[in-house]
Amino acid sequence: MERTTRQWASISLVLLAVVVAVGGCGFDSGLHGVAVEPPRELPPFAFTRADGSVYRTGAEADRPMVVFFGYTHCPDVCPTTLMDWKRVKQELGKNASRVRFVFVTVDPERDTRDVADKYAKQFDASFVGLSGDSATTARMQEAFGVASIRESSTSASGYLMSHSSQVFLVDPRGRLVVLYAFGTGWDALLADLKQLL
Amino acid sequence: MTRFSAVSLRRAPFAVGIAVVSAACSGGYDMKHDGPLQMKDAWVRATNVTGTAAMYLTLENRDTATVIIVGAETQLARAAEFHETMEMRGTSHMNKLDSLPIARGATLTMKPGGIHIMLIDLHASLAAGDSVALLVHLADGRTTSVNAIARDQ
Repeated sequence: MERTTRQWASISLVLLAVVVAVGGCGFDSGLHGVAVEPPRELPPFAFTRADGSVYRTGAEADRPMVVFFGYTHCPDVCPTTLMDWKRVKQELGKNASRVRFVFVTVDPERDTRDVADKYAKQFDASFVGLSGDSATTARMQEAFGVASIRESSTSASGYLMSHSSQVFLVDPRGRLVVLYAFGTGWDALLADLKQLL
Repeated sequence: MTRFSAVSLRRAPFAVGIAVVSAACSGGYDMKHDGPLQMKDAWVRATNVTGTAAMYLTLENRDTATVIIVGAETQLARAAEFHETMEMRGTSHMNKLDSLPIARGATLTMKPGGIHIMLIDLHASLAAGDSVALLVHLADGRTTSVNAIARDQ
């Protein structure tokens, strides 16, 4: 989805305001990321997968969800993040299967359903990679308070995507409860998931 | 056409020569350190899909003047480019660097979330332990090379 610089700036400012507003809550709540207070209710989103089945992002009892918006042509931030998830999952032990790790591409034009899912699964077979239509992807990002923008480049990879670099933790009630800025140690997500599980 | 591309094309005959030599050397470049730029601790993230990958390394300029990197290439990918990831208000932006100056005596340590080398359209997947040879072009015409080891990290 293409957005104007002004739209992009507005969305970024909204997100920044949320982070600033809740920035001091992480310490009090005992969470290791930036707590979202009050937790943000998220609508469910449905994505058709490569095998034709439908994946729904709504609430699931006893199953928190970890979400990241990226794209497969991203060589740096995205694989670094998913590699952190792999470590987190390994450390969770028997409870790991209760966590839904969901990668949503912001580049559905190049990342087909199959490409997105294979990309996620190279890190862990249980990870889910989703590619939806542009409208669904944009609505989901908006619900999380972020956006992405396609940027032209002279790179041999073609265009590049600017996108949210944060990891989002959604509780089993389907509420956004914690944000993790890129560079936050993976152990922060691990500790918070242990609290939720 | 960017300067990066121009340099790559200008050096195409040389690159072909290197490729022939390296074919007999387990697919790597003839390790060549004829410049003042020392490259070490190179690693690339292992991947089992043939898309993109990032390489990270440490560059030390031991010369008496600034060294300017203007391009890179590897036989394992269609293109290799220097990129910089920048974080702003929770958003990640990536910019292609057509040149990368390293000041006299300076050391640049690449790491995730900063400057890296983007390998585009890998010809094969990379398993942990695999070696990837990279040839780096400098503005003064010299080249230098390094072997990066694939890591599952």
